Amino acid sequence: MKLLSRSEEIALLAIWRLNGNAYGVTIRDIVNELTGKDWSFGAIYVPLDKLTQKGFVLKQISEPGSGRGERSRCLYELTSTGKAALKEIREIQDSLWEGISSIAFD
Amino acid sequence: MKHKPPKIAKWLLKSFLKKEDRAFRTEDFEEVFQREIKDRGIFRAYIWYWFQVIRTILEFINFSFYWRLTMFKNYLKTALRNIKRHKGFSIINILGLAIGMTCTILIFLWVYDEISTDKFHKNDNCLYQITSRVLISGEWQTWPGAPPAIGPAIKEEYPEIVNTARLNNIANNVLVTYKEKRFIEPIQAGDISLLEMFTFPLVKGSIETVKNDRYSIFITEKIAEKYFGDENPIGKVLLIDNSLNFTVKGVLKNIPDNSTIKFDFLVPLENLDNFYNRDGYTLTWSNFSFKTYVQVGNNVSIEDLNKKIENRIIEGNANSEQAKPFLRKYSDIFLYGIKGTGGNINQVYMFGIIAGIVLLIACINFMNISTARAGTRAREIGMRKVAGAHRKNIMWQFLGESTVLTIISFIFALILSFLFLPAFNSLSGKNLSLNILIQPFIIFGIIGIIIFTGLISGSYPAVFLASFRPVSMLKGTESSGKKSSFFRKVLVVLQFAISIVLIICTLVIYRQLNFVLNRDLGLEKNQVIYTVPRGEIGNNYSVFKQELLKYPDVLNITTTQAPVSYIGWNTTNWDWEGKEEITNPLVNFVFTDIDFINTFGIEMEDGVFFLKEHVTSANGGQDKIVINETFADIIGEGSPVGKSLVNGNQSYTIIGIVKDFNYQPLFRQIEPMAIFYFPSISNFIYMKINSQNIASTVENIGNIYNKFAADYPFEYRFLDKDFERLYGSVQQRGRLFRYFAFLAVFVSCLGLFGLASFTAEQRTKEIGIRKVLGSKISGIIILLNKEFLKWVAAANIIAWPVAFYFSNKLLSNYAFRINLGLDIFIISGLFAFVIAILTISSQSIKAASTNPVDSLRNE
Repeated sequence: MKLLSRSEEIALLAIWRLNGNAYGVTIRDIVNELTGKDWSFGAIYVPLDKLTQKGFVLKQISEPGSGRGERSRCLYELTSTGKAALKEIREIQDSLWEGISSIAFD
Repeated sequence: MKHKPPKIAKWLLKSFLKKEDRAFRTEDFEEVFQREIKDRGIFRAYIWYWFQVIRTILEFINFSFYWRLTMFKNYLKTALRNIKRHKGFSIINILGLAIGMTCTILIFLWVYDEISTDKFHKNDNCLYQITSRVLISGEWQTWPGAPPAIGPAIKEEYPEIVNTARLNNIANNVLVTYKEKRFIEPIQAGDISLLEMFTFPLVKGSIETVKNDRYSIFITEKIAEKYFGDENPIGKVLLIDNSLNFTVKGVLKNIPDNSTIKFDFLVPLENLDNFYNRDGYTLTWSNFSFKTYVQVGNNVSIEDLNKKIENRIIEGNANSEQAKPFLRKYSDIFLYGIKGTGGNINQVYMFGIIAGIVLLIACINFMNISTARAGTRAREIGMRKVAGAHRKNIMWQFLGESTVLTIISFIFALILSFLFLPAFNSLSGKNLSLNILIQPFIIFGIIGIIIFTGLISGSYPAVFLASFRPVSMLKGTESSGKKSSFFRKVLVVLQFAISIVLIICTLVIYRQLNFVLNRDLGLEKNQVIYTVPRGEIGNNYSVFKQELLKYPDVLNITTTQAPVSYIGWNTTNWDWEGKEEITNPLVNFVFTDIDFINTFGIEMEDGVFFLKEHVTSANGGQDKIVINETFADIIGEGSPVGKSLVNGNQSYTIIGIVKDFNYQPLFRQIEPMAIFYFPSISNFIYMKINSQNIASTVENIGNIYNKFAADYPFEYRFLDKDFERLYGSVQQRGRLFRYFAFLAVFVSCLGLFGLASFTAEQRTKEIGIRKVLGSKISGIIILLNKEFLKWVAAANIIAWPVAFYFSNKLLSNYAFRINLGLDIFIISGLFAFVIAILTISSQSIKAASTNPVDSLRNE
């Protein structure tokens, strides 16, 4: 019954948003932007490895592109199981927060 | 211009990344690094890089730590569950390892004590003892003593020498009196510098006050308590030998057990002149019964110093022995002997090896039993592998399990050590305690040993189990292959071989001891008691003797100056007609009266012993001499009776040759000996008594004794006990050997038992079928036993030559020894067989008696 951990969820969403351009640098940048905190590379790699092991993401090595600075990269992509896991955690999130209005936080 | 990221940080990063990720992730770092340079400048970029690397590494560590912790908890749970489920085998394993470790711990304590002997002195690095190389009959011998004159001489002449001290044992039985307390005590005489050089701290009093008063005495704490109780001993007076008063000037802390220099009473050296009635006793160059210790300065070359003093003795007295002094490091002498060979180090090695052997056998047990039972874990391993475990993980799991078992065993070993320490202490004659173990260095060593044992014992099973293939395991068809069972057989054979070697050696020691204690020494030691003459006895010896002989139960009496069980007084400087230049024998001698051979039942080879007519003649028998066969052989062919023998400047006529008898321990060949008529130098009085009525005879003797020596308690000893005590250390060693051999055999049997029960378990089905087909129980038992007994036979074949070699080495110390007959080996071999059969039979009988219905039902 293991649910996605917080950082796993964040990593998955980042990969989704990056839509095909998800590798180390880009994932970290977008996570930093979305959470407003400074994540170290390690803090990104660890959940990425866990997700790969669980089969939620797929690693693919891209061809080196044309033009200067286009190196061959290790791209991440969501699998269907990954998407299902996200869906699950979203539903749980919604049911947990249902009915709790933001006024309660003042 | 492209900047490169800091090299060290980059290297650090790479070492934490897995191979497949290394390139890509390093490039990730590089990309952002370049960005940082552009945005913030090279300096901030460097800082950023370093921080990133460190934070990333910390994340990795954090993650793997959490994971490892989880797996660790799982392995631990599995290990404990496994132990509980198979209590029987676990107990065998733990017990075996615990016994092995207990042996190791106890022997370690012993070894530590031996090795630390004499090393506790502050000046240890600078303390040396003067030993002498002496030319005797063309051979150089090494003696631990040196003439008393050399100490002060070289101290003055050589600035490299900071201090010297001499030590001599005045006597072992001197009467010490304080008020109404009187005891017989050993007294030592030495230079007070001894207390400056060596670390024998004073608890009361001081050394200073002694410098001008030779009638001072130092005592140890326990003597202080014995005589003075709670009073302050300083300044009080002890009466020594009923004649001299000594003032107590200091109380020393009790001398530790691991010191070769031991004393209870210490008086300044000059007092030897009194005791031996000889002025200048401490100034000679030709008496080697003194020990001389030397303290050198820093950075002194001992080699050079030895060269300088090499001829000092001969310079001191050309007529002295041809002797060369040389310095040996004091704290090395106990372990390595005065020559650098021999010494106690061999014993230390031997016991160390024994400890290692017992531990090894225990580890072998563990390996065997674990591998044999590997099959029962097969399913679990299969599951783990399917769930993603690699071979390495499985290996670590089982290594971990064996380490856990080892730790549990160690705890038991500590408890066992604590329980058996008193017994071990009395066995080894030491005073060991577990407290030494609580030192940081030792604790590291212990942890190291636990891990080492755990790894060794677990290595074979771990590798073996890790190689199982998941599919066949889950199906239940994986069997312990042929290769593994062969290895197991080898291990059992090895165990038994080692045990048999130990059994044989034990038997050899036991027999040699019996031989040594019961051999015909050429003199009668039974029913002889002896005492020390005191008071007026020495002056009235013949009257004393006559009074004693009035009792019919006192059969014969004689007196000597040296104890007959160890006659160590000797001298050189002999001459006779036709003697060759090079022949210069060291001859032991005895001063005695005419009843010497009668009291001890010694036979004459030729001539006569001292007779009445000899001793009542003009010279009082002091120009006659009797020698033993060995001396006669040295003198030459034919009977030397009637010949003239010169010693020093005295001439003696040889009147008789005694048959050789053993007056020294059987380690040594019989050396030449001379017997002089000199009853006035009487240190021991020997009395042969009737074996009946010993109690009343002793009482009567005591009464007569006190008539002549009213102030002294009558103390006596039995001569045969004295001889026994000579071999005290051998007896001790024999006992230790016996116990360790027993332990080794016990642990081997544990292993055999475990294997036998396992094999029986495995073959229940086979046995069931055989029974159904008509086989009798006895037939099955024989079948099961046959296999194992083949191994024991193989063990014997290996063990016998090895045991032969070691037994020879053990016996090589003795000039007189037993023959290593075949019967010793056969007895040991049979013993091993019987033990093996008993061990296995219990299991085979159980297996053979099970109802076939039950065993075949479990399909």
